[in-house]
Amino acid sequence: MVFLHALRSKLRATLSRHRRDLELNEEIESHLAMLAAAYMDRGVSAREASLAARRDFGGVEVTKQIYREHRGLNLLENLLQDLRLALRSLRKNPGFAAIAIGSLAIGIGCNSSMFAVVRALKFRTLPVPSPQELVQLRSFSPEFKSTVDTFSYPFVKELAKANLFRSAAAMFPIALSLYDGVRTSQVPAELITGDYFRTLGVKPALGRLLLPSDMTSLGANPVCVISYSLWQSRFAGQPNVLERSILMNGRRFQIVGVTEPGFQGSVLYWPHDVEVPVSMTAQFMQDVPWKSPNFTFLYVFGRLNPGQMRTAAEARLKVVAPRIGSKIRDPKNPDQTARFNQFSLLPASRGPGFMEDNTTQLSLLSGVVVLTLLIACANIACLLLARASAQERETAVQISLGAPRTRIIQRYLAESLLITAAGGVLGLIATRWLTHVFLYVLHLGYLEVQPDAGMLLFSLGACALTALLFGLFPGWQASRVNARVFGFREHGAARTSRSQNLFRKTLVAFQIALATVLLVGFALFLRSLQKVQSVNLGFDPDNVVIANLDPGKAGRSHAKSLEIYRAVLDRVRLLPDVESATLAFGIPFSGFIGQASFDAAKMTDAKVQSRLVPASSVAADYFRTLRIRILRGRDFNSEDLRKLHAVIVNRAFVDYYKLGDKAVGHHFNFDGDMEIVGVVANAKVQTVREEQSPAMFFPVTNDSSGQLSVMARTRGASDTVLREIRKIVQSVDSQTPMVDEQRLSELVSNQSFNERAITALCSIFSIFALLLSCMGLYGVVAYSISRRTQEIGVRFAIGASRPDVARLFLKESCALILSGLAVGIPAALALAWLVRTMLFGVEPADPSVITLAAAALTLACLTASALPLRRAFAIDPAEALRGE
Amino acid sequence: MAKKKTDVLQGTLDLMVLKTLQTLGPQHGYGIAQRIGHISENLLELNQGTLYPALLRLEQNGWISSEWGTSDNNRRARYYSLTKAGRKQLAEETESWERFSGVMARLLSS
Repeated sequence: MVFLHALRSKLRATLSRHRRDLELNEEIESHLAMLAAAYMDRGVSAREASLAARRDFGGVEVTKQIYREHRGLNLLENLLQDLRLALRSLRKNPGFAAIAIGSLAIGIGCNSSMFAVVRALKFRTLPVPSPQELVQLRSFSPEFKSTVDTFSYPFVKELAKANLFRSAAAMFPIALSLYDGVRTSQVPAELITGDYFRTLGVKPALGRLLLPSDMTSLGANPVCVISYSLWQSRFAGQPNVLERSILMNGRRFQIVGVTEPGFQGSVLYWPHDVEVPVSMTAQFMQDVPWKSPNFTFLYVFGRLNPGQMRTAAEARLKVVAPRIGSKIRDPKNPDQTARFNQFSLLPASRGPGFMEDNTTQLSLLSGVVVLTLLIACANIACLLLARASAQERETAVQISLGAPRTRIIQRYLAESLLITAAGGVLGLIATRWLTHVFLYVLHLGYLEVQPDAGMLLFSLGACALTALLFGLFPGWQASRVNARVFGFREHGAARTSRSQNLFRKTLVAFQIALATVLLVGFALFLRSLQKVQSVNLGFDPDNVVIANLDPGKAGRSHAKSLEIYRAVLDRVRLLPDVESATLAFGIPFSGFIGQASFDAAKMTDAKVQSRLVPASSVAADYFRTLRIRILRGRDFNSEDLRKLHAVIVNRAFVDYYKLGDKAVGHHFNFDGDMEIVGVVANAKVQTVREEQSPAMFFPVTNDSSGQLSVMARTRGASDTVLREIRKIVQSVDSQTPMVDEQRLSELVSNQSFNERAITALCSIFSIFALLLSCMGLYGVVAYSISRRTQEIGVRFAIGASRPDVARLFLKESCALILSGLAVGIPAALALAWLVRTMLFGVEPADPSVITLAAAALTLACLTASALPLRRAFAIDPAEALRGE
Repeated sequence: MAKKKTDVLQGTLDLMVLKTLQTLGPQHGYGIAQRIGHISENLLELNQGTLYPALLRLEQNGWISSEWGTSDNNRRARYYSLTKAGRKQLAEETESWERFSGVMARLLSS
């Protein structure tokens, strides 16, 4: 109690220091006056009385000092004083302050924002209870060497009976057109099985969720559940939404419930707003054999029992799943699903169907950012060490005037603290801003990134620790300076210990090494990007527009849909700005290309393995529109489109199945007799990186899925053509929606997105790193010159030329640069090897890339170290010698 | 010739101040110094200035409080007075001092 009382009173006194000083003065004055008055009453003269009073009182100033020391919190008072001093000295050296604070801010900002993004991508889970219990099914075909995550409806039904998990369910994402009585719009939705909500553990915010009893009879369960966010945005959160029905793809559905807030379907970052029973599938995918065991479309996931190991469930799955497969499959009509016979369970805490193809990319970026932080820390360390040696003289003066060691260390510490605090605040601001930049560059705008407090603290801590360490260390060293030995020599800074100097140089070399790593990485990705962009695609993506329309969504039958497509195509071809136009199912680089499994035995006698062959359905003029050359044979004609037995293959197909010159006219069996009528040049199908694989093209009417794209090569502005196409669709069938429109060139450039994003970020960071290293080197040389002013003066005096002096310092910089490169290049090679899968068309140890990076670095660093030489040249020998 | 002066024992100054304030009521620093000097018949070696850090300490501990007032001869002065906690503290310290001096007296007379 007493202690607390004293503390509070001391704190108050600290804050009102000035007023208390005045009060003390007045109190003592009044005491002295009363004492003097008493003496004068006894007949002493005024002068004598005043002296006697002072004698009785004792040392006035000493009393005041003791009083002051006990009055407030000394530590705090000194700290405030030191901070004021530090602030003043930083203001006197704005360059130093700006670089130190800027380094900190960028280091902290980059790090915490990048990690916030990585965390959001990597560690966020579905907003459901115990998401770590969720698992997802995957099947693998050793024969095709590929995996499939979707399964057929009969498979899912049988699997649910097998009781492998506490509960299991399946879903298929679709887009549907929703009419709420006011307007029609596209809404992402999921077809779900009965235990979907039970498996996820989602609760309703209103009404009820879908149950197995909602899936009983095919086509007769027109009920649905909507998300909380759709309820709010489309139905204004009104409770009477449960009494309403909505039109989806032309059919009336009853809303029976609303899911809890935050839940938007089972795939993280891909919101779905409506859940519909899987028994209503036919409503959304017409003319699709969705109940067939050969039609795999459902993502299957389950919830493990608490404590159940994923591996244990997987072991049972490996036994059960093949049995289910052989039970449901039609022995008369086997197909490729039988080949996918190796099953596994994946963790699905982010939902089934979540794509995770960016893990390497993210680890790479995190690595790059950590390197940047290291460089920033090294930079701060360098700066503070240099500063400490510059202040050595000042410190010696303070020590000789009797300042205690703790106060000296405190003073250094205050400056570091101030820098750290300012850098931290700026870093915080930078974090917000940089997060947006990263999300934009990485095309991750959909991510909701919360500033990551943990990471922010970590990077702040790392930088603060550096600043404190390198503020404290020189302070401690300086406090040991023996003022007498120091002797106030004019250029006393020369006393700086050799070890401290060596340490600074090591730090600079270390920075150069880190910058080398980043520069090499940047050069590699830049080269890779160039290669990706200059790859021969085999087709010309420029000036090709794509319009996706879906008459099925307006409730049109398959036959009617084809009629609509035909009519639209005919009229698009007549547009003045259209060079050629076609229809296609399966557009290159769109991510949706059908795969046909192909039994080699049916194809040819040649002994080759079966494989999956990308297959597109196209109308006439497809090859002309994409500018793919027809090497032999011909394009589809109207008779092919009617009879449906013609097929066109690419060059790789001919080579793979060893058809040679006899390809055109070759017959084979594929759901009936097929004849190859043409051979076209190879063209990339999915990615620029892919090996050229065999491909097949069928006449478009052969396709059963119903959703085709109109593709047109334009002569002029693509926007006007797209507008015209929209008008044509509207006039052909006003209810057919245009799902979306694309440009082929954009689809292609989206493919090289990874390369571009990484190159962009690497360039930012490596330029930053280069800049920091240059600043470090500049600092070392400038410092070295200021220390050796007299020496330079003497050299000039005895006839040294400018190049002689320059050589003196450049030799030192060269040694630093070389040692930095010597460490940096092997490190860069090792790291490049780690990311080799992300490179395209360039070896991780490409000598030209490494030479280029090293040359750029050397040039930049040499320039930086040559800049301060001007100061050396300006030294007047006479002046310098007089200083001695 | 006056008798040899005695140093003030460490910690006893606080007790003297508290006791003086109890006897005189609110008093300024000069008054306290005069009273202590008068009672001790000027046998204590006490710089009056040392009173102030002691007053500060006592006030920080919450045993005395202070306010500005006017002295008898119309001078502005700071008046100190005992607080409730100060009275308690004085009682405790008096007791412990009496015990201590009793022990010393017995020890020295034996």
